[in-house]
Amino acid sequence: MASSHWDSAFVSKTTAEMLLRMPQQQVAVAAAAAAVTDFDSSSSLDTGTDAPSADGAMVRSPLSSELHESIKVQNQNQHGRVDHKRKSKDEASLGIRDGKSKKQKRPKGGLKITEELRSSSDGYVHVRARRGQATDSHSLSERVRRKKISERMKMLQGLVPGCDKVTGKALILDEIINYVQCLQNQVEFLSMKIASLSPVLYDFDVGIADCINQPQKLIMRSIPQPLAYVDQMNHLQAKAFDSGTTTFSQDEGSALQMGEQTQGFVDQIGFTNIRSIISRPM
Amino acid sequence: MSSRRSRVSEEEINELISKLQSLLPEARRRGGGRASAAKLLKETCNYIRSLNREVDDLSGRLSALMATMDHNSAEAEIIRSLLRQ
Repeated sequence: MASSHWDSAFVSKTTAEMLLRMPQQQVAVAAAAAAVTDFDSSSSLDTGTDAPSADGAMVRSPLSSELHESIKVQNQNQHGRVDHKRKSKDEASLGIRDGKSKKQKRPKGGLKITEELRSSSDGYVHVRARRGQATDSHSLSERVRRKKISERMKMLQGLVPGCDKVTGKALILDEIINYVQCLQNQVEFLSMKIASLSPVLYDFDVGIADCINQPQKLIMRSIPQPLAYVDQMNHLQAKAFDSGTTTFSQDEGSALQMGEQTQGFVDQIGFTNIRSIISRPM
Repeated sequence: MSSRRSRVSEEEINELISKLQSLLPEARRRGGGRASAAKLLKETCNYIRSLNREVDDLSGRLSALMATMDHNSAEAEIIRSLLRQ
């Protein structure tokens, strides 16, 4: 799906200058917001200046209509205050800045003052409200929530290889889902392989616990093996078949159909038991 | 216009999130009630880390097992053929 809709050209030339200063990922959201607010060139969104921390990035979710609307509304109220704001825009945000507190509420209503909440180590999620945005509790909490989500998406992007090349929530989620499925398959496959190392397999109908001692004796008799190996195998057996959702695919089934050479000793130990169980759908 | 577009992708995103939720091991317990996205993402993070650990663990065991086996034995042959897939 096209992730470009929030990258798409909302940029007006008045904000071009500001955009140049900002890191790339902030551009899209800032651009969209700027276009809607219709501010003139000297107004800035206060974004690039004092949010150097790693979490200074803007929320990347698509701008919801609520945001658009609130910005529009404030714009109308703002005009009188624009001049006042402009000259002291930096000071205003700096003055309000209090890195430690969670949220700072200014008296509601017509006052739309830039609030800054910096993400810090005290455990709170800090959100920056841009100029002209609503500062009522709903929007603030919504913004906090979105910020949290975007932080976690970034973390996941770091975990999933190849994910940082991708942009757009949907694509990232897609990558994450693929990766998780891939890892799950890997685990399953590895467990199967380890399980199939043991030529002695339990009769599942009876239950693993009952069988553990028996197969051990069989092994000792028929195949000379180091004791450690046997213990390890049993331990692994228990673990491998503990992992609930192992399904026995066709591949595994065919792999267990061993050649002539090995057939002898395998049958001896009753391997056919497990083979029939494996080919049964689980 | 853009609100319509964002609504469509909103649905897609929700769908993806539910899909992700179903993959997580917590999925059975929840019984279908949709947890918050933030929580889900956090659990996904932990789950991915634990899966990675498990894969490393299992690989280590597998190679250890291989190491203890007699190279010419029948079982070694089995394993080799399995790994050859």
